[in-house]
Amino acid sequence: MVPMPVRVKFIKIDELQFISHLDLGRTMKSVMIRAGIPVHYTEGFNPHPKIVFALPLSVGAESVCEYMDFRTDREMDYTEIKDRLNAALPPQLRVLEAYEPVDEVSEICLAEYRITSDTPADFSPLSASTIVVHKRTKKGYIDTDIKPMIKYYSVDGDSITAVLSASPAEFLNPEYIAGILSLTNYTILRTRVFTSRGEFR
Amino acid sequence: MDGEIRKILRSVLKPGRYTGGEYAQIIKDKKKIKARVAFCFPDTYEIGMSNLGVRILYGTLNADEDVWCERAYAPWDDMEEKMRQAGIPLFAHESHDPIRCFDFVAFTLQYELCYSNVLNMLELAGIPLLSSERDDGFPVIVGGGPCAYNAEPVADFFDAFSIGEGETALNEMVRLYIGMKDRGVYTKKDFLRELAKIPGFYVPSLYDVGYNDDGTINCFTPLYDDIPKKVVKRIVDDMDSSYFPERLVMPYIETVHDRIVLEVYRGCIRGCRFCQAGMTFRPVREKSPETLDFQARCLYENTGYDEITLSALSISDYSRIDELTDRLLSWTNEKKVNLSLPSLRIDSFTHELMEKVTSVRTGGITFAPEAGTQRLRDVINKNVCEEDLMRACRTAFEAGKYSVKLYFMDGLPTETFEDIEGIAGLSSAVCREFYTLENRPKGKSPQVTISVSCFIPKPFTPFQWEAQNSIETIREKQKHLRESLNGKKHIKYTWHDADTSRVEAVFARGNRKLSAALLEAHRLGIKFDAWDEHFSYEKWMQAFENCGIDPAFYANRVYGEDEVLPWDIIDCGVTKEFLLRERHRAYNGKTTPSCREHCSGCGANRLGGKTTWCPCL
Repeated sequence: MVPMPVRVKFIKIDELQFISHLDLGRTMKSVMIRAGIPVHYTEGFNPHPKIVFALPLSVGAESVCEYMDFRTDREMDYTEIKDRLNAALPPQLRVLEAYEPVDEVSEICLAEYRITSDTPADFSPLSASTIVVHKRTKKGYIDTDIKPMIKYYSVDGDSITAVLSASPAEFLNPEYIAGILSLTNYTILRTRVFTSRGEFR
Repeated sequence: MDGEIRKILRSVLKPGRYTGGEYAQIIKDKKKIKARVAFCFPDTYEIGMSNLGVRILYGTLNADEDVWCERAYAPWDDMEEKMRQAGIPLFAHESHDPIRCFDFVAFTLQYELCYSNVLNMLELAGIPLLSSERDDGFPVIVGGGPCAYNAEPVADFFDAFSIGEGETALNEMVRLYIGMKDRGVYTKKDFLRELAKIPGFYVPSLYDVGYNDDGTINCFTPLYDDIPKKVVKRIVDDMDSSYFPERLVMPYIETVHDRIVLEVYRGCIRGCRFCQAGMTFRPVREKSPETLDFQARCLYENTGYDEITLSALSISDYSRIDELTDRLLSWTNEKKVNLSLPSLRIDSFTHELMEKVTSVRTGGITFAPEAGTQRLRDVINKNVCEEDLMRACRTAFEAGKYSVKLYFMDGLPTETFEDIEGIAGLSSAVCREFYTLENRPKGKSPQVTISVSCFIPKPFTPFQWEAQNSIETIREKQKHLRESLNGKKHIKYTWHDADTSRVEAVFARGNRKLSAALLEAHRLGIKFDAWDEHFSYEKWMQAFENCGIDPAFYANRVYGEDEVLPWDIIDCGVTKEFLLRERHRAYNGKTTPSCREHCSGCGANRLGGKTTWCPCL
C-alpha cells in the first residue's frame, strides 16, 4: 500500500521545554516503537523512521502547538494513533490530535507566542519605529531591524501576546522580544502557528 | 517544577541533565509512602543513566509500595555554581525535593575516582560529611557497588555498605527501617546495629581498626559480640527468577549507553589475575536463552530502543551463545533492531559470529591481548596466544576490515622492557599479517590502534599484594614503547595517564586513614577526578601532604602476604588462599584453566546459587 500520511499536534511543556529539537527527534523514534506505530522508514543504506517536525522550538520555550509528520506503512485510525502515542508519551508531550495533513509545512509563515514576565515589565520599547538587534542570520550575525517581523502584539498585565514571522526566509525567535524588554525571569509559550490562509492544519 | 530550579536551568549546559520528567520515571504519592530513598550516582547524568545496576535497584526498591526511590546525579560545575548561588540544595530528579529530607541516600561506588564527588554531593545536599556528625534527623547514607569491596577509604562518610548484589538486600534494609519507625523505636544507632546483623551489610562504625607501628592494620574488632567478624557478600541465587526491570527510565538527552543492556550472566570463568570483576562477581550464574529472549522482547516493546547489547564480562564464554543469538536474530533483524556484543575474546572471534552481529559488522574491531609477550600473558593468566590474535585479525581483514584496536596494560607484575617491546612487535605482526592476505580490503592500509592503560593492583585479585610501578617507571615504559614504534606509520599509540592511575591505586588499596585525605581534597575543591579537565595530580599530592599521608604506602608498596588487608573484613566468596595460590602460579609463569575446563577451587561456590560450572559442595 501507499504509506498513510499522519500529522500529529502535541504539546511540549514543563520540564520538556529544556529538551532540544535533536533530542526530541530521538525521543519520538523510540516513542513510535513503544506505541507500536509502523512508521515508514527511509530507503537506502541506513534506513531510519522518517519524522519531520514543523517548526523547531527553542530550548526554554513551551508550546501547545507542536506538529510532527510521518507516514505509516499500514492504514490506521487517526484516533488510534493519538491514543497509542499518548500511552507511550510522558504527560508533558501529550498528543492533542492526529489527522491527515492539510497544509504544507513550508507554508508556515507566522507563530503566536505568549511571553510572561515574573516581575513587572515595561513594554514600551516595542512601540519604537525601528528595533535593531544583533541577529543571527544565514550570513552570520548582523544588525537587523526586527520591527517588521513583529506582526502584532497585545499587552495584558505582565504578559504579552505577539505574532512573529516564522517562515524559513524570515524567522524571529521570541527570545529577541524578551531581550528587547530586558526580561530576566520569564516564560515563553507558543500558542498558535499560521499559514497565510489561517491557522496551520 | 520549582520556579527557582527552572530559572537556573535556562543558563546551564545540557539542562536535560537535571529536568527529570522522563518516560517511565516513577512518581509516587508522598502521603502514601513510608520511606524515601535518593539513589545517587556520583558522576554526570549521562554516565549514571547508563548503569544497569542503578536501573535494577531503582526497580527493586520501587517495587515496595511503601518506598519511593528517586535518582540523583552529580551536577556539572556550571549547574553546581548556579545552585550554590541560588541556595538550591542537591535535589532528587523525580520530585525535585532536597535529598537532605530523605530517609536514605544511597551511593553506587563504581570507581575510586568518584569519591571526591560523593563528598561534594553530600555537601551540596546540606548533609554533614562524616557519619559521626549526623544525628537521627539526617538520612542514612549507604554505599554499594564494586568499590564497596574495599570501602575503608570512605568508611568515615558512610553509615553502612551493601556488599555484593543488592537486589534483595536493599529492600530488607528499608523494611528494617520502616519497621522501627512504625514501632516508634528508630534511632540511627539501634538501626545500624540491627542492620549489621542482616547478611551483606557492613557498618564500619561497629568495627575498631587497630594499626601496627609500620602503619599496616593489626586487626578489625567488632564492637559487639553479635556483629559478624566478616561480612559475606550477597548474591542472587537464580538469575532466571531474579528481578529484572521490564521498563526503563528513558533519557531525553543522549547517554553513554543509550540502549537495552541485556545482562546475560554474572561472574567470569577466566580468572585473569589483574581483574577484580572477574573475581568478585563469582560464582558464574547464567540466565537461560528463553529468559533472555523474553526479557529482550519485553524491553524492546517497553522502551522503544532499537539497539540491544549483550552484557557480560566475556560474552562469548556464555555456554549457550549460539542459541541465544539465533533466538534474538529471529526477530531483531526484521524489526531493524541492532544487536551488539562487547567484550569478545580473541580466541572466540569467528567469521560466523562476525556475520551475525551488527556492532562487529559495522564498527571497528577491538581485542585485548593485555600483554605483549606470551611469558607475560601467562603471568596474568590471559589464556590467548599470538596465533589466536593473528587468526582473529585475519578473519576481520578478510571480511573487509582494515582497522583494529588492541588493548594492553603496562606496569604488570614481572614486566620488563622486553614485554614492552613485545607490544610493538605484536602490533607490527598484525600489520604484516594484513599484507600477506590476498583477499585483503583493496586499496586500504591496515590501521592498528594500541591503547595502553596502567596496571592498578585491586583488592580481591591475585595481584592485590603487588606494587604499582612508580610514575617515573610508567613514563619510561611509555617512552620506550613510543620509541619502539618509531617509523611504524600504520600504528597509532594512545596511553592512559599515569597520574590518575596512581590516585586510583591509592584508594583501591586504601584504609580508613584516607578519609582524612578525602576531606582535605574536598576542602581544596577536588571533584570530577574521572574527567581530565578537572583532575589535578598536584592538588591531590597537596591533599596527601597536608594530612601526612604517603601515597606510595598504598600504591607503590608490595603488601605482605601475611598482612591484614583493609578489605579482609569482607568475604567476597573467592578465598585469600586461592588468590595467594594464583599469585604464586603467576610468578612461576603457570596458567590456570577456566572454570569450564576444571574447578580450581576459588571458593565462590560456598555462597551457593544456581551456578553454571561450579561443582556442588
